[in-house]
Amino acid sequence: MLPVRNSSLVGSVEKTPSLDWRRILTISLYTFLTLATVGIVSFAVFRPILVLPRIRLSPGFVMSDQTGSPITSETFRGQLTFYTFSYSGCDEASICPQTTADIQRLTTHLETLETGSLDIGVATILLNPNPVDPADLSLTIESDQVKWQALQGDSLRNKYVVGQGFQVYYSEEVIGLSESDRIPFAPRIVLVDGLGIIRAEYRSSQPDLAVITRDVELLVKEAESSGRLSKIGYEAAHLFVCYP
Amino acid sequence: MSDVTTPSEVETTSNPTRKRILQLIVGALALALGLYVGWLGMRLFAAPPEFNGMVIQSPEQLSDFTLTAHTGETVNLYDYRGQVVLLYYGYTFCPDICPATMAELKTARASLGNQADDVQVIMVTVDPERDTAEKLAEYMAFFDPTFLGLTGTDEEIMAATAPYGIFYQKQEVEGSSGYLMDHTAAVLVIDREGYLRMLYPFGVTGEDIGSDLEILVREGQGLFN
Repeated sequence: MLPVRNSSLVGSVEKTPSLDWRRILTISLYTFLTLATVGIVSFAVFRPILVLPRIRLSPGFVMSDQTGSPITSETFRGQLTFYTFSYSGCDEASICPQTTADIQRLTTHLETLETGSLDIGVATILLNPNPVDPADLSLTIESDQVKWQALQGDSLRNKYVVGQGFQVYYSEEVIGLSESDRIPFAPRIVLVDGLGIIRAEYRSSQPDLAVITRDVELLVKEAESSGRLSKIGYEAAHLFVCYP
Repeated sequence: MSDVTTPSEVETTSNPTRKRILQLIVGALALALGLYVGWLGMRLFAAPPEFNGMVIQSPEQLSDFTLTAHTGETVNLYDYRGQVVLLYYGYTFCPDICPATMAELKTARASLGNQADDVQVIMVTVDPERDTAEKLAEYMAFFDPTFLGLTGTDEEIMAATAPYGIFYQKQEVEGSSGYLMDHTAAVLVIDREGYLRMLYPFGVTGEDIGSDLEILVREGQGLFN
């Protein structure tokens, strides 16, 4: 007599369903597409990576610094640079839209930020229609850790660099009896990354320092993300407009 | 009776186990295949394409400029809306970087085959003093007759460089050439709608630029073209 288990096994062989390839493939595909969709939507909604927008290219220029030496836009490659705008003689008394004190406040704050291996600098473009003799420059910013440079060019260069490149409104007509009296301009601070791309614009002479801190931290994190996967993550963040 | 199982009985007993294992393996393979197909789909349709250049994704269209072509015609950047533009800044006396870059741009354009007509290569001279229309015409023809050389007055050149992130300055050198031009050696890629999309630093190969261009050229076409 045959064991009972044998007869039951024979029965089970008959009942085993054949492999349903299409079903397995369809389920796998739908599972993945669902997960991918959920992942993409979650990324766009929860924004695990925040980035500052790549607004446009920072203008290219050759100007002279506070010592009279030539300096180009390439000098600022590889570091974060805050571009500020002012003119020699711009102070509280002349009702200047962006005074030396404002730039000093920003520079002093930048000294307190942790930027890892990334250097940070401040450049002030002077809007004087004619270059001022370095010895007569009334603008000086004190800082031990943040490099500050004054930049000045001729009126034609200012037009294309400041006006068209940085898109800062200023008047070429000086108001007052002497050149240092007053040059009307819209206060603006522009943050440029190490690749020469404008990443933030602050339309105030005294922007919120907490915002400045956040923006610098975001750029430092992005610059330090050298791995392939994190780079893809950052590109995705740009694609999904994950801006703060 | 005997408890010894026959060979046919052994076969019958192990079949379901084998089938289950086979089922698991096939299931795992199907899942892996599903994941791979999904990943490919993601790369093609959802994830940002992996470009070889530095992606800018600027929300602003580039401003226009007006210069004179080597053909003598007045040209605006906006004239090339509808085409992908590779904008390069150089000069014909340039000893090394410019000819090397121009050769790569030729390779990039040639790699597109029938779609090459959708791409216009433009070189703006940063040395208008020496780069006459004739010089530019000769230089462009050497690389590709479809390339366009642009020149202009000092102010026109400044208007076509500074806002685009390009700097240039004269560098006096000893020798017959008298001077060289220091300049930003980047290639700007402008899409069909006039947005700056990408930037290539010096050294990117024509093949890599070509593969990026394929994506940008495809963007302006219908799905079934």
